[in-house]
Amino acid sequence: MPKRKAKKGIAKLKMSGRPRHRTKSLKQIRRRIPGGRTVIQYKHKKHSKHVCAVCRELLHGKPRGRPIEITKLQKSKRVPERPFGGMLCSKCSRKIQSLRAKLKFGIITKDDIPVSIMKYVVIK
Amino acid sequence: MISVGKLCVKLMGRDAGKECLIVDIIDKTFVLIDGNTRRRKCNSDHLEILPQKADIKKGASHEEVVKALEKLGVKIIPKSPAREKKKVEETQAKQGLAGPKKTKKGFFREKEAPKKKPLLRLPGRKKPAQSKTKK
Repeated sequence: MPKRKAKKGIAKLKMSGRPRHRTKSLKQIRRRIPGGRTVIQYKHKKHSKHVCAVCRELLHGKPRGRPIEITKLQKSKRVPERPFGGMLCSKCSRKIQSLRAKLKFGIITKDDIPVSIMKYVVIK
Repeated sequence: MISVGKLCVKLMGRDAGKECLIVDIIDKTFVLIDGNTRRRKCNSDHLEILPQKADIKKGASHEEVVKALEKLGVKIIPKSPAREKKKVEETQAKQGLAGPKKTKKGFFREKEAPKKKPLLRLPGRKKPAQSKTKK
């Protein structure tokens, strides 16, 4: 007798009996296995993408994943090595460094600095 | 604008925010810098050039640059002691001045490894007879 295959969309999916799977913090993936059944597989959700704290642009050189995946990477691959690396984008960090230098050597005053980046420029 | 002895702050890379002096002008785009940063070639776009200027010669050494920076009122960041210590050890090892490395074996050579105490045997008991092999 040939095996009865589950038709697409008809197979009823049940939640796994394991209590640890009864949570919405895990991502549920419906996958058809080689036997023909459709099962629910559970995966950890990915973290959100890293963005610049000032301009909200996506950051380069900052890997996306769960903490355990990132700790396995080399230290130099986890975050850019420059100051504010992994926090600000390169454009913003360049702006802030130049303002900081000008403020330090008395070319500009505090009043010339925009409020949005004040906390990064002024050193307490 | 760009000339030898100009005070700059590096904007890009791992030395960003550190002060340096222009030591040499290589071409239109690149200059040689030294100071709190590493002595290295650098794109002039990656520098914030400040109006202050120090009196140094073209291709001045690191010590001369440090003195000039101190005159301008820039705080010099000394290198971390651990690295210097490592360097000294390496140079001593090359010259053969450093003593042997401390290892577990070396430690016991000086003091001799502690001898194991013999097991106590009660007077009444005898050694168990060795089993004879059957021929």
